[in-house]
Amino acid sequence: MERTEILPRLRGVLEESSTQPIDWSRLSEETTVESLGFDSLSILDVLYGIEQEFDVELDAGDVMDLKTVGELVTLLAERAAAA
Amino acid sequence: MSAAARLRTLRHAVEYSFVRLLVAVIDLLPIGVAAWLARRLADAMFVVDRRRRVVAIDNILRAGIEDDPAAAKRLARRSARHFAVVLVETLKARQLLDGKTERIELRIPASIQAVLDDPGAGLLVATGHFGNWEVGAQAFSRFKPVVASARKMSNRFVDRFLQRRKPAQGFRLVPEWFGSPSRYTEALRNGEAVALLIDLDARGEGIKLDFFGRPAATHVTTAMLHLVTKAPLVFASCLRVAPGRFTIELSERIDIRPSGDKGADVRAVLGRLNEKLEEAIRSAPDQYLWAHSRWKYGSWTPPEGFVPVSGGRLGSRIA
Repeated sequence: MERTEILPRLRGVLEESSTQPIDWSRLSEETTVESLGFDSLSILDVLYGIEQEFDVELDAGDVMDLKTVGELVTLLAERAAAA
Repeated sequence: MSAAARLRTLRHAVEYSFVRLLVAVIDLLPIGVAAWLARRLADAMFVVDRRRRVVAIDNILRAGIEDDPAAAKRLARRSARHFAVVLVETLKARQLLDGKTERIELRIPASIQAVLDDPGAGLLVATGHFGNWEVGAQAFSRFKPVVASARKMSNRFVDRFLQRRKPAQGFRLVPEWFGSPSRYTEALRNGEAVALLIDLDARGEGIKLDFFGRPAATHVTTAMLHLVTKAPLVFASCLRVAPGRFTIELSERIDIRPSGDKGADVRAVLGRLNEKLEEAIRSAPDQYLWAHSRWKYGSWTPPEGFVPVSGGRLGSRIA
């Protein structure tokens, strides 16, 4: 799976799980995860959404350690390549 | 330090001294005597603490456990006595559990025994304020390390003292579950059991889900952890059969696979858990903490002669 294919799908998941007033059209690989305002509970929503969208299994710790959306894209690309 | 802060510290120091004294007395007494005293103290508190009494009667009637306010009041009193003994047993947990396996009977389905026998397999254990959930979690840690959440007490002296009394072996507390869920996912990955209470009032955080047929604000974390980690999930109860003696029973494994409809999945998981909790409560209704405000919305018509808390004012001739 290409990175360019992952980002829009990931944006959809993040947008659906977020309750923050964020301009999602500006989401890029440089966007920091912290700036998306997910709290400790909504991160489980994000994980659920990502697992369903990309058919992968992730750990909350893996995702919460990531600094940017680009790192999350890399993680998903790696998982997709390994599958 | 301001005058208010100094006053608060002084009050906390007095409370701490009282707790230390109380615990020292409880430690010296045999469990039967300590439980008897706790029940008498609970009887006195039941008369004095009108608000909790009315909440308990209100909850019992709403749940349909009793439909007669006088019977509900009798059950509420037994529940208050039970809770007082829970506190005593929890304070004496170390004494009660230290090497004394005869105090605990464990009933585990074969499928879950396999999870307990595998040191790498995590387990999600859901329970409610039924039986002695505190001692149950500590006793269960003999079979698999247990991680549970703890609400920090406002009195830091008492908080620190009580935390130190928790048995260290196999049982650890993490800050209140609104903390990072990665603590729980990490524990599950490390083969530990994560014990969570499912009947806390979620206020605006959770979803409305029927409990005894009436909508109650319910936390979704247990369900989300199961759906995301796929860890085996069970409902557990720790029934007191005598003061300081318990039967811990684990349900068959509850397995709900994510379907893509998150809301439906969460409801399916929590619905199953609520059914199990209701079943346990019906088997021993006096061992449930009815004085906890579980239903904060939803209209109902109380029986004649009883004015519930949600009815707008406290008190009635029956309460």
